[in-house]
Amino acid sequence: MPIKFSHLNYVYSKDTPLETAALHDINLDIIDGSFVCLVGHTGSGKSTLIQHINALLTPTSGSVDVNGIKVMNKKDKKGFLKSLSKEERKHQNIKEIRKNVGLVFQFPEYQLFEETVLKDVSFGPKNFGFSDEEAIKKAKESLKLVGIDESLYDKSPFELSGGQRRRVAIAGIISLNPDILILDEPTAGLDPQGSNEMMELFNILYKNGTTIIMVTHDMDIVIKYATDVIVLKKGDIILECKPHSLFLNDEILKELCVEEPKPISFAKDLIKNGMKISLENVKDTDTLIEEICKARVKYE
Amino acid sequence: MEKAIEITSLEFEYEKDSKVFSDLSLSIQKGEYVTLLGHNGSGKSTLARLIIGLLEAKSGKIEVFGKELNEENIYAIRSNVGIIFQNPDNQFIGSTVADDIAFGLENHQVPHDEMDSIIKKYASLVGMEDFLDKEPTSLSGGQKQRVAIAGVLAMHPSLIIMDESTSMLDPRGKKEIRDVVKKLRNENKDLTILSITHDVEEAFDSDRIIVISNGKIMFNDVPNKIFEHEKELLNIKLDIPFVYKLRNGLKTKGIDIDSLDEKEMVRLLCQ
Repeated sequence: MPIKFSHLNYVYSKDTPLETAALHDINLDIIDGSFVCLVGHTGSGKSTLIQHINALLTPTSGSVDVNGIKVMNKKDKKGFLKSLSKEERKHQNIKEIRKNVGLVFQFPEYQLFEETVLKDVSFGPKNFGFSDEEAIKKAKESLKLVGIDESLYDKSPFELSGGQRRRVAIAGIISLNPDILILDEPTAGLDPQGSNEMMELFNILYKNGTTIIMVTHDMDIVIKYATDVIVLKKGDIILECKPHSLFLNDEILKELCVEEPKPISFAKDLIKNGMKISLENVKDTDTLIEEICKARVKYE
Repeated sequence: MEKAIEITSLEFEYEKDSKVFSDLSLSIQKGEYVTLLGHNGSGKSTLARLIIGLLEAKSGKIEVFGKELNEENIYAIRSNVGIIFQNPDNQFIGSTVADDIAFGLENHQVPHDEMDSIIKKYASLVGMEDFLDKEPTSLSGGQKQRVAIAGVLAMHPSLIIMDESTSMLDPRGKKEIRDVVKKLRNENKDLTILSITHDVEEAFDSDRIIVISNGKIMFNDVPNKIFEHEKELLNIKLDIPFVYKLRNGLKTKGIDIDSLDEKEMVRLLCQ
């Protein structure tokens, strides 16, 4: 399900004194099976951008095309539908997008509401027309995937720890087997191991073909998992690149106020001092150590 | 030396027969900056809530600046302790930055004509003096947390507890808070800080780290010593700083680098 943003503009509270332009003329292609990280300061438009992909927000002007279905404002969409044949119009149902694009908000654990874990996770599938039986089956599959033990299925979600609650909330979204999974800072507030486990889960989904779009401030995640990086600033895309090029761009790093991942800055220092290692292979401390060993063997 | 916190044989449980703490003792000196390090669910935030009497211990003793925590002393203790919570949006109560800092002062019936200068003083201490009329919606998470710190400082606490107060912030916000804490330490050597976190790089800033797992103290030492325990820390879902991970990893590959200074490590490796 490829995604294409064309000349998308979004203005919050249009025609009121609080009017603020949040996105300007966004043009962007996201191809199937990519792992895209969106980075930028608070208020740069990251969350506004992702909410367009499953039509929670509709553009003030321009469009997002998700697998052929256009997300547009009412007026534009009316005009667009007129230009289509009756047959083509059938494929323009926004509900299809909602089913195929899973969106996990920041701190999704605050959105749990059902009496039991299992009920909460099966709510989504039921809502999309699956029978009770099928919905429970899907819920159990995704709970297993996120590592929630069966003994917790009948507990109230509010009895669980913060990390467990977040897993349950994410299970609720992946129970619909979305082709595209959008995540807004899914590891914020988790301890290091909780964060690693969560990322490994998304990596499995990615390897099974799910397109992952993730808002994050964590550069260690960007370097380890992303295939592409998009940098936003005040509603504009200021850079689209591969993760390693991001860390060769000092100006952008300074703009983002992030430090490059430690393994990367260390590798750069080694290169500066004459060691022959390839920066593209360095993704974390383990791969850095491998590279150092390789270079040392060459010396001797 | 005066003790800021003294906890003896603390026992606490949320539900019957599932103890968070069964026999916990620790002490923190006045003027010390101590980090309580532990994974999600290790009991570290529970401990903070016990210290300010938001939760009640089953048995054991908690003393704050020599006063035992009990019904009689609880308000005296609270007036001496400030706490910064995790979520910047849950602790902004004023309609503007100035109002928010004023909230505690109003509660303590500080005369109105004195308030202005106090608000300005603490707003500028955390670098928020240009935002006094701003509403919370126009502030970043880091800015809101700085306002929370200013509000707490205005009450002249002797002890500040930071309960994961940077974990919801972006890198800029985290850095802002770390810088403010360093500044506070420089300006007031008597201020005791208890920081609760699972961020190991942040923990590195403190004088001492207490590692908590399953309600028990696992390590209690200066940062340099703490991070020598890689295996144990990884086992309890924590991490160690990059330089330790690199040095230890290289060692297993037969490359011995006897340094924890990045520059020196690069030099030794490139020899």
